[in-house]
This record gives sequence, C-alpha cells and structure tokens, in this order.
Amino acid sequence: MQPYVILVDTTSDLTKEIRDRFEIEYIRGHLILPDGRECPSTLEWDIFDQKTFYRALHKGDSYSTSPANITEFTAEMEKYASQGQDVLAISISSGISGTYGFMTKAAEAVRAKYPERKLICVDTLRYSALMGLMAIYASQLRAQGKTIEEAAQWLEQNKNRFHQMGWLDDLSFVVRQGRVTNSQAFFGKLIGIKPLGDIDYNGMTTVLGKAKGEKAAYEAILGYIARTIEDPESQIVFVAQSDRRAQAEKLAEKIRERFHPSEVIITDVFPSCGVNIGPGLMAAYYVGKPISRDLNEERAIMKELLGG
Amino acid sequence: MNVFPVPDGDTGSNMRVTIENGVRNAHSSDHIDEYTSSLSKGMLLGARGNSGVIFSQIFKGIALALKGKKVVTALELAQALKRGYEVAYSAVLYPTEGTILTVAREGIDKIIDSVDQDTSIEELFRKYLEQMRSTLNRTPEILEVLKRAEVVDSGGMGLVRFFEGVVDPRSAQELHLEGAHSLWFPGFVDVQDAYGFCTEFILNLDAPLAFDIKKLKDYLDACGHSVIALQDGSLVKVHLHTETPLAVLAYAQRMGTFVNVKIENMDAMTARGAKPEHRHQKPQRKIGYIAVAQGDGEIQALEDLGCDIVLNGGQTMNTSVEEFLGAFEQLKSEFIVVLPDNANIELAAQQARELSGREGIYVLRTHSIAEGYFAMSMAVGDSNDIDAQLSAMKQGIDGVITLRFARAMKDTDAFGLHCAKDDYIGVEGEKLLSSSPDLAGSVVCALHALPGLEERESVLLFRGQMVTEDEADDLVEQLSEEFPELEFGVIYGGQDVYDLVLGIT
Repeated sequence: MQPYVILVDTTSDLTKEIRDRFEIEYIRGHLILPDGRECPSTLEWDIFDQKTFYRALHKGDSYSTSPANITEFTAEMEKYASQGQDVLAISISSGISGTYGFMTKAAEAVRAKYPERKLICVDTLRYSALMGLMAIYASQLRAQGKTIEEAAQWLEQNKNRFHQMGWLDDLSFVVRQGRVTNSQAFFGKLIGIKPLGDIDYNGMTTVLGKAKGEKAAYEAILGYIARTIEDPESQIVFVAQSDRRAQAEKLAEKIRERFHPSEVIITDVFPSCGVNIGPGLMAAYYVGKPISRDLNEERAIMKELLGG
Repeated sequence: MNVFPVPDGDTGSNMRVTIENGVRNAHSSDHIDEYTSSLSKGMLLGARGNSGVIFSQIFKGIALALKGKKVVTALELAQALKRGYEVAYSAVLYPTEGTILTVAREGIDKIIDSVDQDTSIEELFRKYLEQMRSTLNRTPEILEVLKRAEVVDSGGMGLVRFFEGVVDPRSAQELHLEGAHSLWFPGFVDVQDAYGFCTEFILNLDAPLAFDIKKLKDYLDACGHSVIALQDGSLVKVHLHTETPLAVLAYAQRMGTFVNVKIENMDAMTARGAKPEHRHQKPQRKIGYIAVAQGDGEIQALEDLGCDIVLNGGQTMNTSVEEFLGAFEQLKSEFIVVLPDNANIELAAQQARELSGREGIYVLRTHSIAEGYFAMSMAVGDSNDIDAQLSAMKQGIDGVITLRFARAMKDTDAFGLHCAKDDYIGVEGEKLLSSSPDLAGSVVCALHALPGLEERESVLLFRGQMVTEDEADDLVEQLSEEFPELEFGVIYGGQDVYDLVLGIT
C-alpha cells in the first residue's frame, strides 16, 4: 500500500496505463448524452471511441458533463480514510470548475469523522493532461519518499511552472463553452489561422498570438517551448489532442528531435474535458519557467517568434 | 447560457437532472419532513455541476429546518427558505453575489417581514417568486461578467423557473426551448428601465452657415442617449434614443424642414421579444474595430470575430464618408481600426479619418471580405497593444489572394479565355482566370491557374446567397480531393453580387 493515495478525477485525462504505472486513483464524473440519458464519465473510451465522440461534437450534438458532487467526493475520500489511508486530492483549475470547492468541502466532512487522517486538496489551476502531469509529479515525489505535506507543498509552489503550448483549430467551440479568456473576439471559425495559447496565472487558457498556417504554428510552438522549458531531458512531456492525432504525432516527433525529453506521451482528451474543449486541440504540456502574472513576458516571446 | 463562473450551456440540464434525482428518491408522506428529507438526499446524491450542487444545498437547508415537522405554516416555511440559502452559502468555498445565492437570499430576506400567521403558503411562494425575479433582473448590476455578456445569472434563472412551476404548474408547458435568446422574456424587462423611442430624422437647414451643431448635440444629449448628429452642407442627420421624441422634433423644426422622420417605440420592440440591444452598454475596449461588408453572413462573421460596427458596403453600395464619421462617433475607443472591403471604400475611410480630426484611427488596406476576415482572425482578442494588433492584422492580410466567382452577363473573350453568357467566371482583381458552365469547374480551373499554389495552406470560401449549403459542402469535398494539401472551409457570406468569394492564404 502506498503511504498516501493520489486522487484525481476524469479531467486529468490520464489513461489506465499511465494511472497504473504511477499508481494514481481517480473518481468518475457524469456525462449527459444528446438523447438526455445520463452515464458515468470515465477515463476509458467505453461508450464510444474518440473519433465518434469528437465528430458528434463537431456536428453539434449536445453533450454535457459535470464532476463528482460533494457527496460523491465525500464517499470516495471516506473509502480511503476508513482504510487508514491519507489522501492527496488534485483538482482541475478552480477558474473553470467547481470541483475544487466540492473536494475541499468533502475533505472537511471526512476529516471531521476521521480526525487522525490527512486529506489535502490542491487546486492545480490547470486542466486535462497538464493537471494529469502534476499528478504524475506528485507520484514521483511520493516514490522519492516525500510526505503528503511535502508533495502538496511542491505542487502549490510549482504549479505556475506547468505550461501549455499548442493550438485549437476551432475556437468557436471552446468559446461557447467559455474555457478561454479574451473570448469576446473569438467566435469565428478560423481557417488557416492557429491561435497559440498558454495558461495564465489564474488557470485560464489565454491566446498569446496567432500563426498563419500550420508550418508557422509548429515553428512558433517549438520556439516558445525552447524559450520556456527547463531541464527538458529529465521531463515527461505530454502532447494532448482531441481528434488531431496526426498533428500530435508530428509535434511529438519534433519535440523528441529538438529537446530529447525522457519521454513524450501522446494523450487523448476524454469526454469530461472534451465536451468543453471540443475537437481541434493539439498542445504540448511541460514544466518550465514560472509564468508571469500578466503573461507579458510570454506575449513578448510569442510576438518575437511570430515576427511581430 | 451561463456566464459565471464560465460561460457554458449546461446549467439548465444540470439543475434539471439534480431535481429529477431528488424527485426519484423522494417519497410522499403525511409528514413534510420525510418528503423534504428524502428529496434533499436524492438531490445531494444526484447533484450535477455548480448550480446543481448549490440547488441541492438549498434543499438540504430546507430539509434541516423542517426536521420533525408534519405540517408547516407559511412562517415556518419562510424560515426554512432562509435556512436553505444559509446552508448553500456555507457549502460554497467562495460565495459570489450576483448568482443563484443572491437570488435565493434576497428572495426570502426581503419579504420575510411581510409574512405572518395569516399568510397562506401560496401567498408566500408568490411573494418569494416575485422578489426572486426582481433580484434576478439585478444580477447583471451585481456581477460584472453578467453585465458584459448582457445576461442574467443562469443558476438564478433556474431557481426562478423551478418556483414558477411550484406557483403555477401549468407554466411549465410554456417553456421556450430556443436557446440563449429566450432569456429575454417580456416579464423580465423592468418597466422602470424603459428604452424610449429610437428617433431619426434628416433636416434641411434654413441657415446652414449659421447652424451650430455643438449646440444641437448639447440639447440632444440632455434629451436622451446614443446621440449621433452629423452635418453635411445644408443637411443634418440625427439619431438618438429619447423619451420625448416630439419635443426633439419641435426643437429641430425651428431650424429647418424635415426631409424624413422615423420614430420607433423601443419598449414595444422589447415586449415583442426583440433583443434590447442597448439595454446594457458594453464596456468600451481600448481598440475598436469598424469593418465594411456586403452580405448578412459576412457582417455576422466579422462581428463574431470582434468587429464593433460592420457597415453595409461592397461593390454596389460604397460606404460614404458620412457613414464612417457616424461610426467613429459611436465608438469611444482610444484607437479605431477600419477594415474597408474595396479600394473606393478605403478612400472614403481615409477621408473620414482626416475630417474627423481624431487621433488614433488606422485604416487597413483590406480590399475584400477575405482580407478583412484574415486580418480580424489574426487580431488577438482584447489586446490593448495597438502596434502589436496592427502588426498581426497586417500579417493576416499579407499574401492573401482573393478570387471572386459570378455568372457572366454576356459572351466575352478576355485573357485568352472565352466566356459564354451565364458561365461562372473566376477573377482575381481585374484578371479573368476561369470560365465554366459549372461553378466547381470554374473554381478548380482558377486555383490551378494561380502561381505558387503549392506554397499555400488554406482556402476560405464565402458562400453567396445563390449557393446552397449542400452545394458548398459538395464543392469543398470535390476541392479537397483535387487539392489534398489544402485546407478548405466555408462560411455563409450572404453576398448577392458574387456566388463565391475565396480567400487563399
């Protein structure tokens, strides 16, 4: 048994293989299908495959998703606490979901019942595999013998170093769902233009610039990673994609050639995040320099890379 | 449509699922506490999303307050509603005013003093509902993000809709399912916040040389808002929203003769369900964007990309200097970027810029909807950096090729091609590239005729009124096969002059 449980939810986009490898537990959420039926939201393609799901979203089929609620988080945490285990619960950004609040209230309730147990919640200010990457770092810290408090503290102190750099083909989808800042101007479907975004200080995706065409976009992505990544050879880099596997494989290859990280893993975006991101995400997730408060430094880097 | 904490469309479905889970778990009983207890348990277990969780916590509070009771009076129920919002507030990590929490709180706090032993349950719920509606209307004034999006809080709306069903179950059958626009029910318009009359007129001045436009503007500003007044020689064009249109006309009539007058009752427009465009003034951005387009789809596309004003223009209806001046007047931004859609309109925009005497107006050299679209596509949202924005937008225009396709009016020979009447001809600027009786054929030929096509990546097609969606989809499929290295996309442009306008980048 591990010294403490690392718990994520379905917004972490970690496959079974990765979760098993790093011994990370997860709690299921909820998915409402276009016909109104409800089913669990999981980290498996069990009801439909990825392509079918994203084609349906692109067509306009209406899915909605919600995280586990306070009662469900309480039951899940209590399951571990009653077995004598502490829990490090890692949450999607509080800027885009109520999950952190639910998790925190659940932890309070379980602590009241099991006062000797430690239940710590971390708001990653991140989402999808970038949040998943933070859970992997927590697992690595646990394997190094760090206590639950030390692991939580490391995550809190370093979450601002977890970067995203990639593009979204069609911002109109994600703007409808509200997961991007400076959104007012982005309802249009952008043909041939790739908006390139990182995460801001508050955990919201922010477009730093736009590249005209895929070739320019790949160059800008690699250039930005080069200017922001730290110690790439020791890192696992994720490339997340929602129905953009071919582009993700291309980017993964370029990242391997340029930065030689210890590993590049291409991940799927499962329905919990997928419903809100839509098809068209293709982004690299890695650890680098702290993100500046107003993203001014990052904007300046992108401006230079795009020739502005 | 919810906009807080983030805009998404699942509040209604989340709250519905939450209450359905509650109802499925609830069992009828002679004891109200048994019913509310089982209802709240079902809701707590089956809560979905932020609003669903808060909704379930409200009922948790109600159930706690009614514990041990078999029947309740209106007074006791009022206390339970109060307990409901208290529990909900305590369950939220960072309670935010202007949301379902405020609606639930004010709904009961503002009426509880009027509830006594003689108040019936029905009367309690009617007062509660009426107060909640009033608070819901105010939520945009409490929460900035709601004001910007010009919506009320959707979780609060869900709570109101629920209690409308409680007060009058028949109202549930009249539910609109049209989407976000259906939020603007007539019942939610606050009668104290009337819009007045949209008043426009053109006046032929008796003494144009002696006319003082500033004095007129000062008068009009005192009468209403959204004032525009432009003088062109002996004519003055006026637009404003005012409660006293007749007084304004009487004042104007002293200075000349009306050429035309239009008065529209904006309150009546709102009552018919028209969206009240000027209800909440959008906060003005540092950089404003004015574009020109010809079709309704083109106009919509540019607005979607962030244009504040899109003027109707194009090949047959060139936008005038006066219209540009009026648009400049409407935008209070520090900087304005103008995107004309042909060379003549660019000239008019430049003239308007000089006449306005205003600093910070930039006219881009966009000569087609395609160039305008790519320019706006490259702009970065709410960026306040005018230099960076102009640079990005110019990058967008750089290298864009525009092709236009329309039917030939007559037989003709040009550029080594023979065009028969009604053939689809493809032109780049003044140069004829293709002619074919079939639109797809003409597009394929024109693309093949372009030098350096292998360096290009994307083609955006603006579909005119004469081309159906199916026809455009078939065309894109054909083009994708013919040119597998290019990415194709279609936007409904709605232009009536050209069947297709292509932007190639």
